[in-house]
Amino acid sequence: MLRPLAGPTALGAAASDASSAQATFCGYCGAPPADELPRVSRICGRCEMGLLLHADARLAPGAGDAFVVVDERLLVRALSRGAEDLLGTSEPVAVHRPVSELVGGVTADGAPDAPLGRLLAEAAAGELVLAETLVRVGADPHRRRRVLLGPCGPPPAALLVFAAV
Amino acid sequence: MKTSEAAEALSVSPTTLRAWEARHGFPLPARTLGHHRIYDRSEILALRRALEQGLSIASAIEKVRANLGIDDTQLVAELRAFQGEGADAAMEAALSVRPLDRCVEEVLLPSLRTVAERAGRRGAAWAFAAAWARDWLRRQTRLSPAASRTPGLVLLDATVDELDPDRPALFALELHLARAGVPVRVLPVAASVGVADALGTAGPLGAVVVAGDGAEEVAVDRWLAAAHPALGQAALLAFRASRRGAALPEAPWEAHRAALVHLSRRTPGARAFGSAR
Repeated sequence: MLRPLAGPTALGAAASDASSAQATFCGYCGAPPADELPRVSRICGRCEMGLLLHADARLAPGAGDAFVVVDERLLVRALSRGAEDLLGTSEPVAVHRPVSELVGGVTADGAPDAPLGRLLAEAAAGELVLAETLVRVGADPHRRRRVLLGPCGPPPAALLVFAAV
Repeated sequence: MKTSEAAEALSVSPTTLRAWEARHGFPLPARTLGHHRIYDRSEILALRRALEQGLSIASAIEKVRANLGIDDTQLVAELRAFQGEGADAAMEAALSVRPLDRCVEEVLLPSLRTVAERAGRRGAAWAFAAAWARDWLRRQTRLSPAASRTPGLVLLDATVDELDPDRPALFALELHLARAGVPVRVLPVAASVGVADALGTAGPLGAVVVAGDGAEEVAVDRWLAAAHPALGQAALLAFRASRRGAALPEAPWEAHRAALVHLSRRTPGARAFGSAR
């Protein structure tokens, strides 16, 4: 089910590669930074409800997209507004919970697929550039969505972006 | 720090600060007598540092809470694991760096809200947490100094049952009032028989606070009618209730402050209870 889109290359090491240009987005609304002076606290100038993060431009979400940011312990560290709607929870409730409570790797026929946790851990460690896989949404294995995942930060973390339906 | 100063330190608008307070319960300002928000400078500066290193507002706030000893993660974990002693220890840890009133508002009540959201109102974890919170809060109330003020106040428990999410807030309000020296009696709305006689021997009464929105309106009416002979000049107030009566703020600490203002106005010759309905 898993389809790596790039080799296990650290994002920093691949920065000179044109295909891995960086993009900046808000960790809550998903929008790019507002056109203004950078804030000392990295707070999004548009919604003021998220922090500005960087990721591979092929992975970085857009405004309104559903995505989750996960740390190396596989705990949720940020949840976008779109993901709140998709997953039926709120960021303050979801943060610090295991991401496995929100999503899990599945095969096309709904069977559990264990590598999701490993992929997220590798992405959080910067050892995976980009991958694509299927996840269950919530506890229902039949509610599946395609996701892209890879590193983001700072600080280093994994970004899991739900593909649009 | 004033709201404008705190907002400037964090590079956000005052509206956003209030939005964070509503969404995350942090930063939670104190209030001046004029009800203006006053923020703890150390909390704001700690939050600023955490935001510079964080992945989200929520995770930065969580880090600050942990560093300031207002880590509700531990309490939530203990309650979800049915560990009463562990929950006691979590509150003890919080009390070591924060006064009791702030521990209740910033640690206990947010933790209970989280447990209720995750477990659901009929969830076993919430049932355990609600019972533990009732015991913990009432234990603190019993340890409060003896009542030193008059008049007293009745908290009319109009919650549905032990699992009503408003119930811990009711006991938190009782605790804050008791610590302010107010004689407080919590009475269930279902117990109306003989209530006037009981209140008649309990000293001057300044207010009845209908707490919770779970009881039927007719039950509240029945209680108020039964108690009416003993209510005199008492004010009718509403806490987390949509019924008649002056509405108190939702946060127990703010509600207790507002109730104290009402009690201070209960002077001889003030409007009779019946006319306040």
